[in-house]
Amino acid sequence: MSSLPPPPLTPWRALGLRRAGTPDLAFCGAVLGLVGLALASGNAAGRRLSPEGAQSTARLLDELELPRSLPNAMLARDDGLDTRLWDVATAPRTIVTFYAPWCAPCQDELPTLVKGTSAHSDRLTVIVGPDEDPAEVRRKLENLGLKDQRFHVDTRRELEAGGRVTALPTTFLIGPMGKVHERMVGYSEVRLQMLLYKATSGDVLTPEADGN
Amino acid sequence: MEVRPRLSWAALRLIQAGAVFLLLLGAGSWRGGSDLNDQELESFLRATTSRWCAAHPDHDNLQAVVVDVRFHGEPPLFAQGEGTVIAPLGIDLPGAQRVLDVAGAPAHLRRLTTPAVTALAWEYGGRVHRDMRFRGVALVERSSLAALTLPSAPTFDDLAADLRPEASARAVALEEHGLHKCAAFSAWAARSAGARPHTAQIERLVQAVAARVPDDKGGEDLCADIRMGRFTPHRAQVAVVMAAREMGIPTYGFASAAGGKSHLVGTFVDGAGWAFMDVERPGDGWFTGGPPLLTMAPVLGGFAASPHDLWSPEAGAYTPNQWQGVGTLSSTQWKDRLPAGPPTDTTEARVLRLADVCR
Repeated sequence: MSSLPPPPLTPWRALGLRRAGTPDLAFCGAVLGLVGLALASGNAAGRRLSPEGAQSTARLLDELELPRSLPNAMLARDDGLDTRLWDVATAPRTIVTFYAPWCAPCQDELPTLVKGTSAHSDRLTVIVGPDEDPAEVRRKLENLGLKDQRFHVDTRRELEAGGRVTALPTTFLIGPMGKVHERMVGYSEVRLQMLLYKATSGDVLTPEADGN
Repeated sequence: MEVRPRLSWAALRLIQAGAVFLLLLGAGSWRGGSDLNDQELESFLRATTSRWCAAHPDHDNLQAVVVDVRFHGEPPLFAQGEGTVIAPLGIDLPGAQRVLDVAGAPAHLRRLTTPAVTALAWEYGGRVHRDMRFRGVALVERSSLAALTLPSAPTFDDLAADLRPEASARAVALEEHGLHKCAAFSAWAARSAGARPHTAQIERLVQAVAARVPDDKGGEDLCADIRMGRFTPHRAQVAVVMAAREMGIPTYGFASAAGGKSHLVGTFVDGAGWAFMDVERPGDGWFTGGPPLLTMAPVLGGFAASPHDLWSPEAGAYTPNQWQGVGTLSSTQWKDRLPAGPPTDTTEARVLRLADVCR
């Protein structure tokens, strides 16, 4: 009886015949351990906000949250006098409004504010950004019939940052040392009347009294 | 001594590949469990109330509101994404309630305060499916529940001048629930309210909205409800509040932390302060104090991170939307008002009297 010659030893056949040794078992364990670790850490990371998610969440909360106070920001008055917010807003309640000549709702809001605080002109502070041309701001105020209205330039954008101003008009009702009582983003006649009411302790034109 | 391995090299590799595959499969379907279990939440509550007991030895009018928010990890309920969970915990209304302190588990990102409502914000790390639980606790000062005997001619002349305009702002100014475009509203309000005193007007308005439709019927068309004379509890509350304001009465709608999320209407009464009536249980009459108030509405300017501009106290997960506003990522329902059915994301509240806790 003649025996068949053994099949040729291909590389695959050789691997099939090879026995796993301790190094193979250790390698296998290490790979499984690493995969498990990667999955666990990936899962743990997925439970936290990503850097982008944390950033957008912080922005959202900034928008929702009323800032506690406005900083004592350096302001440049339209006549060149340097001052600070807390020196300007000394009344028990002051309305601080961010204005720009290109902002359409601001043109509706500002005349109402000026009219509403006409008996207490110290209770309104108009802020414009450092990018605005003071001459253009003055022209626009004159167009609105507010040629005597003073404004302040937020030269270092401190107020913009401290008040988290992201849209115009944004209007604050503040107390001494910048304590924020209310913030209003956008233009709303009824909310404006509320702010005026609170800033002037009630002696304010109501829409009815104003004939509107 | 020679160790004789039992497996071939190829079999070991096959087993290894299978194990990696199973790990990946498991990771894909693993919800990751909840971050906080019941025991951890309860020990957080105990620690918080103990701290408050020590800080407030005179705690007769103090109550702790416990608000639990739960998002389920199962698809399709789970909303994948990143954002912030916001849950209202209580209101500040002079003469009615004051929020003294808040705490959150897990640690909250921020305490948010609208002019009236205090809320907590947590991170919603929803890139992987998992159950998420949040607990907010607020310490509020509010007197005990007491039935109110009204004076013979109730008035609201003593309401603080700076509260009056907000509490009386009308539908046309607030554009509340589209009532400013509802032709039938003003006449209905006047007809239903009748003559002063203002508390009697509110009582008549509550009677006028007593006929009910189920909560899930009718969308948000309050004007249609007024024409039909049938309301959901929420829209009945809105109708009463806005109709009372139409009559010049300072009124708010409130949601209390009582189990069933009662729909309250509150007005000011000279000598008694803020008085409340449950739109769903008008027979109980007027009362003061009671379980803490979670939200009040309408508040000027609203609050975008709220399912109904603070008319409802349900928590939700929010994310910035493409217009730089607030978009809803995932909403919850009030647990105690849920019909029987599959599990859903929920908000629930319970109240602990500090006097009981501190014993």
